[in-house]
Amino acid sequence: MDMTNPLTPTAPNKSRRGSKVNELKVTRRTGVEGDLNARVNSLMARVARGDEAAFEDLYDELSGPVFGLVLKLVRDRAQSEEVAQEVMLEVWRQAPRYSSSRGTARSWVLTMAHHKAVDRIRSSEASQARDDKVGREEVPAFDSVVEEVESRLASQEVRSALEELTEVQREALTLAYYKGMTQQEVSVALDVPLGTVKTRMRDGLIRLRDKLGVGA
Amino acid sequence: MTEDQHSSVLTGAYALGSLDEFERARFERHLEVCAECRDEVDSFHETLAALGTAEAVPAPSSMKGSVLQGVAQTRQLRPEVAVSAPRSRVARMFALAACAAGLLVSGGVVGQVLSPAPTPGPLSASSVLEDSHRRTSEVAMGDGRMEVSVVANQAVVSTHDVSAPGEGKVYQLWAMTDSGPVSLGVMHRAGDQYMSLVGELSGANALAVTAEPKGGSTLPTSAAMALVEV
Repeated sequence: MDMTNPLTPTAPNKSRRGSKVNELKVTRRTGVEGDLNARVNSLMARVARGDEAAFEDLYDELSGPVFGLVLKLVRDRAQSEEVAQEVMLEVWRQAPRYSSSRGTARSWVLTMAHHKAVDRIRSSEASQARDDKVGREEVPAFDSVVEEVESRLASQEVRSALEELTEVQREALTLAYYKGMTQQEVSVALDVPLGTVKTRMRDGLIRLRDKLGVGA
Repeated sequence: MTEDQHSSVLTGAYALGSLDEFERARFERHLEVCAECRDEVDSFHETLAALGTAEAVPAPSSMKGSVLQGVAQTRQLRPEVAVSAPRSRVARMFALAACAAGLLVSGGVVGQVLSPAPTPGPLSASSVLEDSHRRTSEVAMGDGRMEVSVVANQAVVSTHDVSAPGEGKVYQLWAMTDSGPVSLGVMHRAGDQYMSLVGELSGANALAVTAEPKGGSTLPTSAAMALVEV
């Protein structure tokens, strides 16, 4: 991959955000998204060999998505910074063990970020009474969460793909991914049997995947 | 296989990170043997990466300096040459995760009491199950079998195809020591499996499972259904 690819600006955010819609319209192998992912992949390969300069470039590519995703879940800015920092450091540490056979480097990093964020949420809630939490707080809150998540999605493409899901699919997916709920919590929040939650999560992801054209 | 069919529906919940520690560990065992589920999980991770990327927010400027400083002081892991490298990458990724307090240890531990710390620690099912140096042994238990994976002083015990212990009963795990059986607590139920995480094995010659009245017993009240040396 050409490292000076004009499609991967180093000035963050504005231009990158603008290209996001395009990223998602095309498959990652052939289009803009493909180029971005290929760039991240090749940076990761250099990072795996201990290249600190490549890591800095990788940081510029991924710190925004990582921080944004963590912030979405954790909400508190200071805590999110802590978690995001931990994730980026883990990326450095574990890079030699990243294997492209299981997907793009971007997906590897964001999966790690998601899990770290979920852990932060669950461990900080662990001291609270779970029953209390599920019974009183989550149920009335979930509508607004779903709405808020949907309205603030940066990408119109992702948003319209989510809109094509059934209500339960969308809600199950949203509560798990953006709120870090376990499938049991989702089942309580939506008042839907656990078995239904499992299948809706899977069906929803399959639809979303096909819609976004980002199959592995 | 029925277990596989049962598991395959969990690909979505797994990719979304909405399984608890035990469900996660159990499903990762399934992923080891099921390429189809593995591919599906990978494709879901790619899909979710698109959702995650859509959330991008510029990271605080102070963060970069801290990360780069950390990098300068952090040794990288060595590449893994294990046969199961692709699959253990996932396990490791999830082992990174601290798990919710209380889900870590289903029972007591021998010799010491581990507090369920909310921070990432070495004691998680995945950290044992992903370890390429784990020793795994298997013994018959009822109609099915019990599997014990040991890494250093930690173990994950799980049952396969073992039916429920019966109304009002639980499976309880014991460490067989020179001074007699010591309770390792009631086994945690995860779907149709029973699992225990043992944080400290020292002093144990073997692990045993008995069926006990609900809540568990202080000493075994029935014959061991499974016994495995450690």
